[in-house]
Amino acid sequence: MNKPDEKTLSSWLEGKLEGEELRKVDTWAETHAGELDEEFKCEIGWCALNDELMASLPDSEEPPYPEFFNSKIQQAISEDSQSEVVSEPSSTPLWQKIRLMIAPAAFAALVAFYAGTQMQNEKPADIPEVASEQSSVYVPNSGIVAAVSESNDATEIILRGLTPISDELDIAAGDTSPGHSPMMANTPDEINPDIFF
Amino acid sequence: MSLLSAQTSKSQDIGTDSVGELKVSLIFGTDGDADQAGKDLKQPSEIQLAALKKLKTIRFAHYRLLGEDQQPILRSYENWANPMKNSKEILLSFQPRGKPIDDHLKMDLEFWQSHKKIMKSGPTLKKGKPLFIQGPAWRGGKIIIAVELMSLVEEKSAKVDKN
Repeated sequence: MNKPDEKTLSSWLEGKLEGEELRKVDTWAETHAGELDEEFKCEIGWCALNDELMASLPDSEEPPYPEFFNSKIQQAISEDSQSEVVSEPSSTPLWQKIRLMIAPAAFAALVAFYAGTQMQNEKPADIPEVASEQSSVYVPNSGIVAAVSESNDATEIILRGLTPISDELDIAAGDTSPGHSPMMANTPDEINPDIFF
Repeated sequence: MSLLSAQTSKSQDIGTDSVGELKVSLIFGTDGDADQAGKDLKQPSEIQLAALKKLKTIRFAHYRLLGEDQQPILRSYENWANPMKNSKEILLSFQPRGKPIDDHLKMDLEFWQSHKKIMKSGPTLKKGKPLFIQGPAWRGGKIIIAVELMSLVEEKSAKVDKN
């Protein structure tokens, strides 16, 4: 028999072939499976499993959520358990063997896809949401950290790691730490131009 | 002649025009004894208290107003707010980063403590949406800086400017 076309191979991998057609492909696979290059193995395997996976996914663009992912694992375990009960190890068809060979790769791909969607979507609960407009906070001194939080009512910036103001300093009464004030005069006669628009 | 030239130049400096007003308040927040900040201090205004109670991350049981300063926002010049008139321990400098768009104004904002620049930020301020900065610890509480855009001057239309 000549090499079956891709559709026939896919049907064979999915266990849909019966009778004479199944026998022909089984015979061909027994004699030619070792000659198949890795690329072709992957191709026929992925083609069949990809269709199956895509068919099992919801018809939306949403990524698989944990519930869906877990249910698919449970379903696979359940199916494997059932097949172990009803099938005899010595008479496992070749198409099932190849499927079992490909299954770990498919599973790994599904895990990678799932992990990718989670990395994109997941936000740690303890990190406040930062609006892009407000996120440009620059803290020149090392050891000081700024956390920005934004809501419809207000923007909040929390600065941590600041040197406390001495309790001895009565700022409410007008006390100031020793040093030169950076404050420039802001009357129109004395101000320094900086930017224009 | 040179005096006339200087005066003409000064009168044409639209950079000194005010594009709005900014109010900076210094508030003491504590879960302990608020009188530690000073016995004669008042509470913040009702509006400020309502805004403080809505905050998600800055939360204290008691608040006291240490001082406030309302300044014009000059179009192209650096401005300073000194909420405690006598003390210069906490200062804020601010400067518009462009023209007001609708009711928004993007600013360059710097927070100074003990004569040192602690933080620089570029918030977009909007009337009715204050910015709160939780600053250093003091007397069992924290110093909170409230920055509020009080008003924006409406831009004259191009047609009016030409006339």
